[in-house]
Amino acid sequence: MTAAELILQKALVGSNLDSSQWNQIQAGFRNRAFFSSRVAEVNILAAMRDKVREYAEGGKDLSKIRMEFREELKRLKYDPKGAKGIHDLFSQARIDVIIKTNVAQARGYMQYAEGMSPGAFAAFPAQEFTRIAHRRNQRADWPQRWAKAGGKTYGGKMIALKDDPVWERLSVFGNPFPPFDWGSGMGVLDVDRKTAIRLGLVTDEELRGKTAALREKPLPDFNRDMQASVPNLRRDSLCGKILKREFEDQVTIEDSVVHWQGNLMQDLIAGKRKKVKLGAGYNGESLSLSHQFFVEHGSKHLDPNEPYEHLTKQDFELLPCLWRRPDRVLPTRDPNRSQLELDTFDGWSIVMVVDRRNGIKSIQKRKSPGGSTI
Amino acid sequence: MRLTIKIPPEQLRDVLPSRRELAQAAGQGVANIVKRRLVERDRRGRTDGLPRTGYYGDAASGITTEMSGKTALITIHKEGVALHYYGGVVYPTDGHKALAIPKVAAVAGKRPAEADPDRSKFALVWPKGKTAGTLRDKKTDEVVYLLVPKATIKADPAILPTEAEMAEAGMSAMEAIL
Repeated sequence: MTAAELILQKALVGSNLDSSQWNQIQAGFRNRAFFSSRVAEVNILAAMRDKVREYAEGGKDLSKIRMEFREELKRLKYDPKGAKGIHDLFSQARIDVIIKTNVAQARGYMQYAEGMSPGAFAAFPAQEFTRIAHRRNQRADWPQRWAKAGGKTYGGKMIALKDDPVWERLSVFGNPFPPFDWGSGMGVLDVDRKTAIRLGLVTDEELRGKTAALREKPLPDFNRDMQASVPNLRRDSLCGKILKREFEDQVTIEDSVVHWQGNLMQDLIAGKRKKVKLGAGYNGESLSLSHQFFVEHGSKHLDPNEPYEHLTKQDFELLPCLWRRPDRVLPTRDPNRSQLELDTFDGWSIVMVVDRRNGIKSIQKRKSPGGSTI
Repeated sequence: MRLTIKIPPEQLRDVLPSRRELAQAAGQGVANIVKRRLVERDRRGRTDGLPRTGYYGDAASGITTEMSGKTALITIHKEGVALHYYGGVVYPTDGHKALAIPKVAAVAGKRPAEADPDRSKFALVWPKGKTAGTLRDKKTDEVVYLLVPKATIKADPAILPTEAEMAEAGMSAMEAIL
């Protein structure tokens, strides 16, 4: 898997949480979500994720990506509402943070996962925390942060085993892999087996045990379903309500345990899930989506004379947002049916016709007609 | 570049690591030496007077090792690394007539269309018969971009370790776990 593919797997989570609030969400959940501080519009997030993917693939320079992203924001009628600097999505500072942080995290995770394979870990069980890339404004307090996180130094070098909890404690994101802070050029260089043993970080026997454990239980899949226990968490408690409000169908709460549900829509389309129930929509009602529906009706057209296109996987991921916050709700000839429309960043609209009695009738996309929003 | 490391069959007999694990170790060993070389290059800085961008360090962070059976494929996901390694001639694309080379820090890493989206800040100066032009700041007359019809990048194989160094790094990593 490439970093670009890893980024595409992340579920789009639109939310008004700011960065400090996001930092309070468990790292495992954050890593599985594609989000940006105070961005609730999922179609903007879809545009962002697409640009991050393009940068991760390495085919375009950052300047071109920034220009294209600004064009897409204009198309989606993004309004910064007076926000300045990093709070304005048009700004270079904000776009760079979004793109560079997401790509760096995906690459950091990939290097970490590769380094934790049994063979790589056995040969290089430790790593040195050091500057990998130059930054104009470099943080000077890394040695103090290293010591505060419980790290030890060896001949002035900050070294620890790869599975040492110091890495997670060092990271503002709570991850055991770089980047360890926003825009940071600090990273890791592997330390070989002989050196790790000589420094007393691990014995040969311990290393054999750790390698055997990795053989038995390899690093879990990045996009696996995960869960986190929250003591005394009830679905109807304030914390539970906030979690449900921000993550919507992406999480379920059962017996004080929050379950992250992979990437709901991608799993549904791939047939890994047979059914998904979307919570309260634009009309306050819930909606069931089945894998069978995508197989049978996903590409059925409303009107053969209109220039409809088939939906891509990325389009399908916008369905929960279309259900909750459509750009337009239009009446149809049948009073029981409504036509919901959501504009996408690439100049199309996703059009879904819903019947009050028996759910979705059709989903297509067509060239965006523009027009007023509800 | 393709690098083959042959493992004597007697070394594989009665030892714990599988062929796949040996490949993982060798792949990690090669990736590590490549990463270290790129980090060293990043620390050296640049010679054209423009601000350092951490380009080679970011390239070091973009190294991945992909396992396919007992083969490890190492890739550097960074635009331009192959061009620097092999060298080549860069021509403008997307209908542009010239390449724009930033000459001041304020526009480093920016295309002219991003630095001056409404074309109000810079003036194009391209004397007749000359092969290069400039974009100048309208207020200060400072050269902001140099415009050239093509740019030749010299091959710099030293940005990566030699094949022999990589083979040795891979072998050492395997030996460490045998």
